[in-house]
Amino acid sequence: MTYQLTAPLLDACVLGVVEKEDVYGYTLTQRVMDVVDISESTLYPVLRRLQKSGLLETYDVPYQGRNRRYYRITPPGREQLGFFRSEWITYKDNIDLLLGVNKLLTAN
Amino acid sequence: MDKQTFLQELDYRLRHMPEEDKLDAIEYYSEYIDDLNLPPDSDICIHLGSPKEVARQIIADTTERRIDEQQEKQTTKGFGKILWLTILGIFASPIALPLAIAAIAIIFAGLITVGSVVFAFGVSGIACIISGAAVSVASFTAAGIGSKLAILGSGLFVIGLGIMFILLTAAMARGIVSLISSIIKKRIMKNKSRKAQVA
Repeated sequence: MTYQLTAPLLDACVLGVVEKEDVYGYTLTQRVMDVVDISESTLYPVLRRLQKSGLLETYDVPYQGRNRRYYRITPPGREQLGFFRSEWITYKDNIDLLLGVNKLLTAN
Repeated sequence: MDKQTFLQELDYRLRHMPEEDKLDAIEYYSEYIDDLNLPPDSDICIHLGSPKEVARQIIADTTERRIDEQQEKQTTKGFGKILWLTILGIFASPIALPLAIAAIAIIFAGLITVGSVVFAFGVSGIACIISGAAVSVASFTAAGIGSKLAILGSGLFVIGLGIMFILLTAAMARGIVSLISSIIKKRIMKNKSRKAQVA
């Protein structure tokens, strides 16, 4: 992939995935990796950071004699995701303008 | 590298982290490796990278967060902190405090000396005027017009001397006041320009 993900965008992606349904580390990583180019060890620090700032919370579910730690979005997490979404739309529109993406679409 | 070796090395690499953060990371990766469902004897590092790399990512993120928190604290508590450090610095310094006291004492002594010289000039002027006036008045009682005029003349001369002393005193006082105020002004200007440079 040509474009790199920055830390806030990574936070936004993780919040977006967790908002749809509670996930554990492995499935979350696979889901994000399907779309963007990250390594399998990228998301742990992100999850820990979001958890420490109260945007995500965790709960353990027993699975095959061990625990699986699920991540769930909190109300402040939803609020932050809303902020990230509006920021993303502004950013995306501006980049579209610079790249002339809209012109291309109307020409086709 | 198998799961146990990987986690042991990760534990070692994270040994300087707070215990809670370290345990959380170990648990996460233990669980993650189980979820990878790898056949036995396969290398975990192909998926996750080496424990060293994994640890570095965790430490980098934690350090960044801590620096952010510290910077926030510093901007809100900055002024109070500087004030306290200044006060503590003055009291804690074994050399600066006696030196500062000595410097203040010298400046004070100088001011007193200059002040008393000016005061002495002023008092002499007043004394000259009073004694001159007294001699002038007393001259009328003197016998003979010649001595009357001589004594009156010396009386007036002393009054004149007194007026000169007082004018001199006023000039000196004005000179000293303007000198002190210009020194203080320069200090303030210097501080202002220094602050402006910093900003």
